Amino acid sequence: MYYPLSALLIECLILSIVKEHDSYGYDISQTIKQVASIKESTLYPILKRLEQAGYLTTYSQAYNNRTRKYYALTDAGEKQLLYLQNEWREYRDAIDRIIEGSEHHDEGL
Amino acid sequence: MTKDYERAPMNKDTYLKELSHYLRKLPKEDYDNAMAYFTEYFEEAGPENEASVIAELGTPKEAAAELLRNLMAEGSHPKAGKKSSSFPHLLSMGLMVVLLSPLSLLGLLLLFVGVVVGLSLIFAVVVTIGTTEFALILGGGYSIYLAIGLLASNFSAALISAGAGLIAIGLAVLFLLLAYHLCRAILAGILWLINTISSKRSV
Repeated sequence: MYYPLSALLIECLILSIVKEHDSYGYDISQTIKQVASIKESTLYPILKRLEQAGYLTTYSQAYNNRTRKYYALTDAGEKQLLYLQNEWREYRDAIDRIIEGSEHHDEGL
Repeated sequence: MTKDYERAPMNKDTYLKELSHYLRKLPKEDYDNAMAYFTEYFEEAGPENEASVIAELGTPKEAAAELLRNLMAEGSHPKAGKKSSSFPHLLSMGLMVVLLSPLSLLGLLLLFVGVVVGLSLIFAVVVTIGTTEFALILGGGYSIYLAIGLLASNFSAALISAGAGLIAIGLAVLFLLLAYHLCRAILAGILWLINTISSKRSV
């Protein structure tokens, strides 16, 4: 079962995958599909936007007898990834705290 | 025109050919990149997965409509590139989305009204701000011109005049920024409407 993922989280996933090692479209999409039912018509525009925002660069490389377009993380992309990772961890921890019943709004920390 | 059930089953080549037909209105670079992405996707999935890729993407027309919709939505994102977030680019994407989406009569009507209202608002903003800018820059410029003339004879009057002129010029700049952001917001509203209506299966 998938919980719907926000666009920011998808962005975080893409940047994380590419930070690990340069990746091509199909590779990125199959990894994300493990946790989200995202369509290519949705994923490709996000990749394109990240490239135009300067977080990713692309290059082509031959494989067998076809070309793959690889995405690589830029310095700006790495900064953005750090930011998104922190945001995600705080968010995830906050959700876990509520799920485990240890936090109510009025009790504070 | 052959109906869906009369058509021969799709394969990768016929699918991509039809997809390229629906995307033909895209600017060359966008078209090339999008087609390369989908072609690569098919090739990486391999011939054994061809049918499930086609099933996942939907009909070429649906896939094209969804692709354009998302490209348009990403284009209005604050972190989009200069070229993909420009007014004419986004508006033409919006038009393509409308043309490719299956819209009911009601949906089409709502969309039409929304777009007309939005464009009229933008026109109103441009005209209002335009005339205001004209007055402010003319008045401000004239004040500064007077100030220069008064420098020798009446220094304090020159200062007042120059000050007024600068305030006018400053306001002109502020209003220009205001107009720009207003128009961007109205455009975002139009695109949101197009996005919302064209993504509902039945409006």
